[in-house]
Amino acid sequence: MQSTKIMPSSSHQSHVPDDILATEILPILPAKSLLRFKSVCKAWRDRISDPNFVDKHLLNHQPQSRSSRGNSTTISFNKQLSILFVCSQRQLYTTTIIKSSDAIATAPARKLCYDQYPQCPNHKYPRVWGSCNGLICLETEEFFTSLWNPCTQSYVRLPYCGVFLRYGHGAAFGWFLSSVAYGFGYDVKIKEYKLVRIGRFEPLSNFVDRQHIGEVTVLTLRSNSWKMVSNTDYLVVPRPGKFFEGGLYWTMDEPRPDKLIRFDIHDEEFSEIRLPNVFLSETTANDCTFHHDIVADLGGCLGLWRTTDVSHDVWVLKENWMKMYTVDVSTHSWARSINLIGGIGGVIGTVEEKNSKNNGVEIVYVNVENGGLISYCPSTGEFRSFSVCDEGKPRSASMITYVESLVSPC
Amino acid sequence: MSTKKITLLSSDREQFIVDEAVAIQSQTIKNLIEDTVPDEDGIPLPVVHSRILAKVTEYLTKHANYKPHNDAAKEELKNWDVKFLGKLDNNTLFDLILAANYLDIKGLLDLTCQAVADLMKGMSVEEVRKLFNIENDFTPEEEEAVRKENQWAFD
Repeated sequence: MQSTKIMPSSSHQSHVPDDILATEILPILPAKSLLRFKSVCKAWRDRISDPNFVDKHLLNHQPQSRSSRGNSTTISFNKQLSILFVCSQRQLYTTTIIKSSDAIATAPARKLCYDQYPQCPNHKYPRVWGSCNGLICLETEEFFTSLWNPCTQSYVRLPYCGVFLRYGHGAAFGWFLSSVAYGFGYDVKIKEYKLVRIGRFEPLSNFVDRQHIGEVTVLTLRSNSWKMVSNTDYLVVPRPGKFFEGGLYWTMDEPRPDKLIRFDIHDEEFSEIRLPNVFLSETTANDCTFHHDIVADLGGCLGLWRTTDVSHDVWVLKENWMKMYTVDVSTHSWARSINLIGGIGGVIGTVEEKNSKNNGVEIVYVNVENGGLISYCPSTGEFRSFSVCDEGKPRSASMITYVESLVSPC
Repeated sequence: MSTKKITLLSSDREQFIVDEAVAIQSQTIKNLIEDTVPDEDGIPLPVVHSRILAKVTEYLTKHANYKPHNDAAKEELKNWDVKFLGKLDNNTLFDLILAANYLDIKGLLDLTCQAVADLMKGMSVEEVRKLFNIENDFTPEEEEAVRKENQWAFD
């Protein structure tokens, strides 16, 4: 930042050299502070907008920096977690759970105005489908998506994604698209954002030899075009793919709910991950159903949580699945309001909390009943609830966690 | 076996005698020990005043003697760092950054830069200009435009 002017001062006043300020201090500031500090002077505005600076800032604000993780067997947790809520009354809210000196707290909710996110036709509200590096994928109408950074409020509309389906040797007549699932991630090998869509097609009549076809299409941001990658037999649950360490993860529908699938963002191929054995054996034995969902980053690991009629439990994938804790619903009344049905409630992430009382972490849940947040500390058994906005109890249509970044989708 | 002592000489020619293991956490001092014939009074550090060198050696002594092997020890060291920073005024903090940068002590540079970031993050634009003596070179219209673009960051 060579052109920052330092005014001469009469008395001795120490100063921080510009290069240290620019390379060591500004990149570790939160995105919100930097957006404000663009108004300090022209040199700061230019620096904060510089793509290399944006990359460096992002690296410092990844949930965990890769280098610190190493071969460590301990779990490291986020300092903060930002969440976007899309409410069915068309309001969008963001809030951030921050670790402050002695406890965790929520930053005041921010309500987004209509001109700050890509608009949907016919007064509908957008649906969230993924988040990566601070960019959020929003579906504004069928076959149309946008990438949007809620911090900088910039967005880009992505091209129409049609139907490529081929069946046998020709175009697949007689099939209809019954559901889609998107996943959004970053291919570090080619430095490229990719949006993946898995479409599920079902036959219009019964006179075919199969019940469904999955179609995988991928958009690479720089090429700005969709291409068909493959057909698949996997039936994914039509919820956002969770991006974690180069792969997009989905839970699966019948007939194989005992596995997760991972779609490699670079190789564009699927692989399977078995769920913990106990998931199936226990539920079969007790004759109860379970719902489960993936938590993309639970302390640097792939996380999983499961809810049944009587309890819910949280798992992390290390070499094998490892159970973090179980909450008994009959003795924890708060846990009853946490529900996965509809795909909105549930564990969304973790925030580090270390204070004199505990030496642990807070697991953050979304409460589907009122769109609020609940944090639970497994080591003390305490829970706290946070409301997101004061305007009554908006019903969340969808939500997603993201990191606050300066990354531009364009 | 007695540990080897190193004498460091501040810009105002005050001597600081420390263990070699303490001193060589500074890459610059390590290089000076290896590459130069020492002054008879000690290794001269012409840009670091005694007031700051006292702080630097306090930090280095704590960190050399303290190689944390478990979480409790790491926590203790972290608490020590917090207390160490708590005693500094802004001028001393800035001077420490300069010293840590010159002496090439990564741990101290990271610690002090994080302290400045923590100080800054809730500040207004005006407070930041004052802290770093930065002249506002925007016209009022330009400043208003930049501010408007990022209005939510001011709430």
